[in-house]
Amino acid sequence: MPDARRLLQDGYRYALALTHHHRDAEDLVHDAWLSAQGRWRQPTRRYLYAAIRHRWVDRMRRRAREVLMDSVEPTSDPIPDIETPIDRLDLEAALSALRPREREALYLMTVEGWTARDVARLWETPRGTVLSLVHRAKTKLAKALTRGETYVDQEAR
Amino acid sequence: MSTKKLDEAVRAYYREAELPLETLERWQRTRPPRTKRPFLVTAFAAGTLALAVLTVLVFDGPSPEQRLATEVWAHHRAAKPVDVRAANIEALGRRLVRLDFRLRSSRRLGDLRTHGGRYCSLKGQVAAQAILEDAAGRRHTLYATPSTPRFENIDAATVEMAEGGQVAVWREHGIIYALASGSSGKRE
Repeated sequence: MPDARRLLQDGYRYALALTHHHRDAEDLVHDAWLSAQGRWRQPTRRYLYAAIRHRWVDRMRRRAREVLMDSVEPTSDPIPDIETPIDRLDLEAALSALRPREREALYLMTVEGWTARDVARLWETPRGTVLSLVHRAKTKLAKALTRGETYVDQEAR
Repeated sequence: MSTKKLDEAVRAYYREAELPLETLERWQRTRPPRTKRPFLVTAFAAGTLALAVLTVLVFDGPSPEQRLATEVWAHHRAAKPVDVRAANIEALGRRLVRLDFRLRSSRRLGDLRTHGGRYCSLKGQVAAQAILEDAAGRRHTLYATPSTPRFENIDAATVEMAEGGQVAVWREHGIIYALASGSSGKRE
């Protein structure tokens, strides 16, 4: 069932964007997959992603962590150009410093090709909030990668 | 300012992240845990079966006397009119010429007066139906049929029926008698 495998891989990557932790991502997508199979022989991408996200939110709430940001201050900082090749480990460290929601938006728009409107509909937030989040995420990543520094956000995971 | 390089790096980072093939195969083989609904269905079926077994063990269904009384009671409630008038049971027997047995009265009928009767059947066997009346004017219906093997399990009994009625069953003179009393709807 190659389509199912592709869906699982994509679900895993989405879960990884949320958690930035391979084992947690694997647990999330496995739980969501089992749940989805109880409903359909093969779940839709929309259902699987929603199941992954709901489980992740539940887990974060149990850990008493604030994962949802109600407001995002717009940033006008320019995103620095990156001249040198990007090292994978450096990128991983920079991604780990992002807020979960920043990583999620970045993943959905950059990797999955969602529009800001799609993400805004998923989160039930204004489109501008999504654009601000993605801009800020990219700014943080670029700064960390160009200066070799990692922006440490106290609210990041 | 271009984020193309950064975007490509992010895409590459996530696309390199893959679940191992054996994990995927294991997940695809794994069936989801049973939901609560099949469990409830199974529990309900098991409970119903247990109840049925318990019912059979404890109550063992209606007795032969109860089954006969139920049939008699249905005839009694129908309260069909007499076809043949007769002053006593023996006279009724003589008028019902198609009976294949000699209809005799029973000591248990006491001073019930006979009005008449008609042909009937019990368990698919020809029977005599006699309409009787007691001193208070209450209607009783007597059924009589030969005590053939169809009735070999019948013992003397009084079966309480709905609405305060009752059916008395007994065997005498090689005849099965059933006397239904109460709630006939006529002359009560």
